[in-house]
Amino acid sequence: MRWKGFIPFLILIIGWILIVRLFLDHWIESGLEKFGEAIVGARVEIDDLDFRFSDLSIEWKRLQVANPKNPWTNLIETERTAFRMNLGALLRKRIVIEEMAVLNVRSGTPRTKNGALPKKPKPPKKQPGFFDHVKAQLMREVETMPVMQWDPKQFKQKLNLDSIFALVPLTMVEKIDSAKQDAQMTLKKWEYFQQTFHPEADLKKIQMDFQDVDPKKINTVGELLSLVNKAQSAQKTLSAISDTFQLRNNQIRKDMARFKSYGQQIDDWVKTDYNAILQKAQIPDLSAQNIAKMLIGKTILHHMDQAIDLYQTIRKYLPSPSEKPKKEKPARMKGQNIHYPSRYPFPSFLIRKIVVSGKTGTSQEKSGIVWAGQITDVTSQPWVWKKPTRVLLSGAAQDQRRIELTAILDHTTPSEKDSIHVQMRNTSLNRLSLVESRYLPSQIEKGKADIDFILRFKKDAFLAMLNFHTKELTLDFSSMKSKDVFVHILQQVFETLPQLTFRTKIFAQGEKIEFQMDSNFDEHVSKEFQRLTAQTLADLKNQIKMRLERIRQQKYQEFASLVQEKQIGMEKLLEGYEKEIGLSKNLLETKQNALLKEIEKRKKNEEKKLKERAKQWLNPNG
Amino acid sequence: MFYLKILHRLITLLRSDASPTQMAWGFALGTVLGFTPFLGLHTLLLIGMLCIFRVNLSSAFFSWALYSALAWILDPLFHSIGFFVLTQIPFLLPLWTKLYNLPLAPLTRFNNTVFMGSLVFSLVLFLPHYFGFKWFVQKYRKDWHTPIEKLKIVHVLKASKIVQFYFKIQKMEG
Repeated sequence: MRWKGFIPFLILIIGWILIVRLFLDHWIESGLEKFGEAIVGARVEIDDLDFRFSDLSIEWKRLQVANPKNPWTNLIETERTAFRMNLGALLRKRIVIEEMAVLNVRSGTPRTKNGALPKKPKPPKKQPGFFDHVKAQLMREVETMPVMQWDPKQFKQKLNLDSIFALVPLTMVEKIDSAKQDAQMTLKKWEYFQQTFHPEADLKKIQMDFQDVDPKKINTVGELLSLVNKAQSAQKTLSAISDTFQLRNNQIRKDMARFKSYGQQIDDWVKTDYNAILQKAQIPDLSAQNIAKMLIGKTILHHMDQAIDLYQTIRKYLPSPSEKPKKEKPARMKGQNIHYPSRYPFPSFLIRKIVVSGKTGTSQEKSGIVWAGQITDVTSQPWVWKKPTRVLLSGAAQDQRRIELTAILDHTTPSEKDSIHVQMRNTSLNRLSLVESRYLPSQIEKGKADIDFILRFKKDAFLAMLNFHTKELTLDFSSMKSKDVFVHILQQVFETLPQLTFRTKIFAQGEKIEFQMDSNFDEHVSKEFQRLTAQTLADLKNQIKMRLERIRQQKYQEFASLVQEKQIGMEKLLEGYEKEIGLSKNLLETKQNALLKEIEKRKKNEEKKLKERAKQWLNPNG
Repeated sequence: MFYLKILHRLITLLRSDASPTQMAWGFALGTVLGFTPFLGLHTLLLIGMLCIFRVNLSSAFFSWALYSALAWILDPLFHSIGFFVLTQIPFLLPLWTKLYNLPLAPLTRFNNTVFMGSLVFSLVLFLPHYFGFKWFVQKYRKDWHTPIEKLKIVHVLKASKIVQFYFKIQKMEG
């Protein structure tokens, strides 16, 4: 043993204690500032931090957290804050604070120094998490929502008759054109028939040959038989003519019936065209749920997106329990801390209760909201502490504005559950600028709103709801000087509607995402729009009918003029042929019958004569 | 230049009159200090041991400096050993849980994988370091001293400005 060695060792320890005593305040202060800056992304300043060994208490005079978006103002500024740490816990490397009082919390206070942090190189992009997926899905939903792409120019175009007729290819025109083509081809066939079918000479010859034939005047039976043969030969010729004629006649009659049916079908074609045009010219679906989405859907989603961002940032710092430690790849010389079941009933870091109070900025128009509340069980290991973090803040202003925030962040088990509810009553909308849109007023001159924002998260399911209820609304329409009917209707509804409500809901679970938005505004605009457009629609329908009728007449005329004349000529021709063939047939039949009769008669006479001669010859006396 | 300093310090140490046993103990304790990262309670304990026990401080500081430089390279190995010791040996888990819940013990950061890995590693090498360094000192003084003194590199080292400056400081310390 080197007893002299105790002296340098003691000097070393005393020196270390002195150094710690001298610099500990500064170390804690800069440590807390750096920790805060890493979370907020802007300068965090703690003034005059004092750590006392005797009672393990920490106190600071002022805390300023700069606004990362506006570094010349503070996001939060507090006055004196004091708390004590538990010694037993501290010896076990746990920080346990029983109660912390944060008083006179204000926001938006001006800063004397720029609160922006020096720019750091962007960290490499991490694998997208659940919320990145939700946001990406949401934006895809917005982009593909048809109402978001609703184009008033397109609607105007639809109300224009020429545009409508340009949009719809008319069936009637197509069909009549094809009927014309059919008629032209058929008429060519008819022409060919006319050119090739000439039975007139044959028929005339038959008629000539047999017209004057009188069987009684024919002397001999032989001559009669010769005539019968001639008649049979003429019969064959006539049959051939008749068969050909019948065949062609049938075809032509069918053609004529088809031409006639075109005329009858044309009414159906006109009806089909009319319906197709009406369908195309239909007024866009301005039923409930669409208009509010179309007008303020993107704006609301933008705000929801910001809320999700904020919650995502909060969640980043909320601890997650894991049952078994998994081997990580820690930074060099940092290692991985393994945590064991705690038998000491405190987690690594715990603030049992934070009592907060403050006031929002007071302006000439608005009195500030005086608010107070408490945050309980803030811990780095909720699964050890077994109690969720609860936030309850409420505030009120002289002008009846009220705000209440309730949050339960339950990370005590692996199935994490978070619930945040913000209620704002009588929120002033005075002189609130609205998004730049040709359909929305530029700003709200006067008005109040009740807003409810609910956000719930459980494992892989996320629900966000925003309910907006306005009262006593006066809007500035100076930016809406448009002749657009739709703008006019919106203005009318905005002016007459006593209360406006919007209900927005986003629900995401796994790959599924739902976005709903409805408003009483939808219903009113829809009704008004439909009322005003009803007459326009009726006129439009008549115009469509009249134009279709004109087209029909013109087109059918072209067809009819092509067919009618030829059809009449053909009918005459066919009738003529039919008549001549019929006449020839009758003549031939009559003459043939007469000839045969005469032959028969003469046969009988000859037989009689022969019988008498035979009798005389056999009985000369008789 | 760092390596030259280390080499020179080693030669100076070996040439001194200190007992090889004390030098070996100092070297072994310095090894633990060098391998284990972070300044904590264990650092205080080890420095206390160096001050109180009759060990050679120069060899302790030499090995501390030497292994601090090496520790960085061995960091992934320490992490793996530490993770195994802290999580994969079931019969040790109650001990770690007990320590985790005791006052002061968590302040040693024993539950850190790199710390535990490096501690286990340096403790395993503690006795081999002790015996090895003792043998080395004895061997050097007996057999290697004269040939090494004749080496060119030793002359260069002695001539270098930094080393001369170091000698001056050493003389001032007495």
